Amino acid sequence: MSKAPEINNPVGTYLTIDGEKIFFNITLINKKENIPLPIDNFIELIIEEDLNSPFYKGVLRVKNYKNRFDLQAVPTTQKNFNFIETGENFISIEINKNNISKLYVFFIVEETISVENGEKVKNIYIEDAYLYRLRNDRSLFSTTNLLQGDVTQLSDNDRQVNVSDEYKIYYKQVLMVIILQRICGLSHLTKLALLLI
Amino acid sequence: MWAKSSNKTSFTSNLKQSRLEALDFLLDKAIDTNSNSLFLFKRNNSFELRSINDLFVDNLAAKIKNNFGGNFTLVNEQMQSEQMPQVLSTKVTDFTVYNENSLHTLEQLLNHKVIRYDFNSKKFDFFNSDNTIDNTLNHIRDKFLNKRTTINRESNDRVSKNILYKIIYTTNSDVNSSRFEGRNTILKNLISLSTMLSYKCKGIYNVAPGQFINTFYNTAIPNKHSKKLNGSWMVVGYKHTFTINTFYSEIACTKFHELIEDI
Repeated sequence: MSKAPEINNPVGTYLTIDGEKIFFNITLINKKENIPLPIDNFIELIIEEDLNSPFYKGVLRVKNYKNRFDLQAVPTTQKNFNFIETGENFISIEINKNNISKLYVFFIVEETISVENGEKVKNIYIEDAYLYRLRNDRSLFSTTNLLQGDVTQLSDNDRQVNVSDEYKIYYKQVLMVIILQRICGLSHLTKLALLLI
Repeated sequence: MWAKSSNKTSFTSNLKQSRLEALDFLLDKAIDTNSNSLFLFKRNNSFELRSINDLFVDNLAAKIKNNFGGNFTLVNEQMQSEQMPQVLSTKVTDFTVYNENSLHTLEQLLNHKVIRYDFNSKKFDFFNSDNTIDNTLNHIRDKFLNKRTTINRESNDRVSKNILYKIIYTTNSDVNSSRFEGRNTILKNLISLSTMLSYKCKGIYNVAPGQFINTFYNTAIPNKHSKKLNGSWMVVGYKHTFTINTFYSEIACTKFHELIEDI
């Protein structure tokens, strides 16, 4: 059976695991608002990654099955988080253990509600925020951009570029677009969280 | 760090194609100058393209500190903990060694869309004429594994009778570059042909795919099992689970280097 978090944790920011405090900063983010969640809502977080993809994914399970959450700074005050329909809803999760901090920024793939011990639980399925951008953004890219001079006179063979160079340059372009998209029209906290990944 | 690939390509994306698809297409064909597979990692919030061979060589030379995932002591539940040598390590009691995933790997290979296309004879020739699992195994032995390595895996009828594969569409008429299509993906799948180890332990915060870990499994008399378990393994995946009062990790790793020549 799981024990409740320590009472001596009024702002609801850490869990005590094996005698060590692990601090969690979980924030729901979209273009309109952001809500830091107190740890009192927390049930479980699963994060996984494998060799074939650099993008992590996971599940966050919280007690509150509605979209009305206690506020971390003011635990007695509740605020709605309105998930926007474009799917651009994110969660930043910062985990700090022994002053070593890890920041994950996920996008929310899906939410479901399940019942455990007679209580409703919200399951939030999450994936790396980069993956969301890469899946949804479309732009033209051609290896001819990487060639010098008049490419119209080049043979098929001479038009080719090294795959890893091409991959690196394309990736840089993609990441630059992501950063520019982040900077435009996002709140300060959202920009900060997303630029940190 | 960004590894250099040996092959070239010409490529233009289209508006129906997401950036992820385009990047996957490029990564599928990227192999290093020694025909080793390349992996994309995200470490410390930046991306790296690394050759699997370089990862292993760097690990042997202990050149890159960030690529060491830690020491793990596998403890047989019957064994008294006092018998274990004192090492700075994480003790693991819940572990499994398995190699059954090779069937899945072979299925992946048989169904993989990427086959070498020979433009001279106008045919795909990865599976030769009869497209059987025997030919696939022979191809793997001849082209990818060293001569000392044999693949003795039990296969089922569903796999061995599989004659289906998907062909690729390529606009590239150059045989020297089109033969690389998807080769990285095939090589990546071969990693799963080696023995795998999975275990569950207390939460390991900094473990990451592509890192190497050391395992220790001590027995009174060294045997085949202990010899297999001891040594360096490469992490292929992890799953961290936090609850309100527990943090544990499940880690899967492999000894792919037993399959590779000259290491």
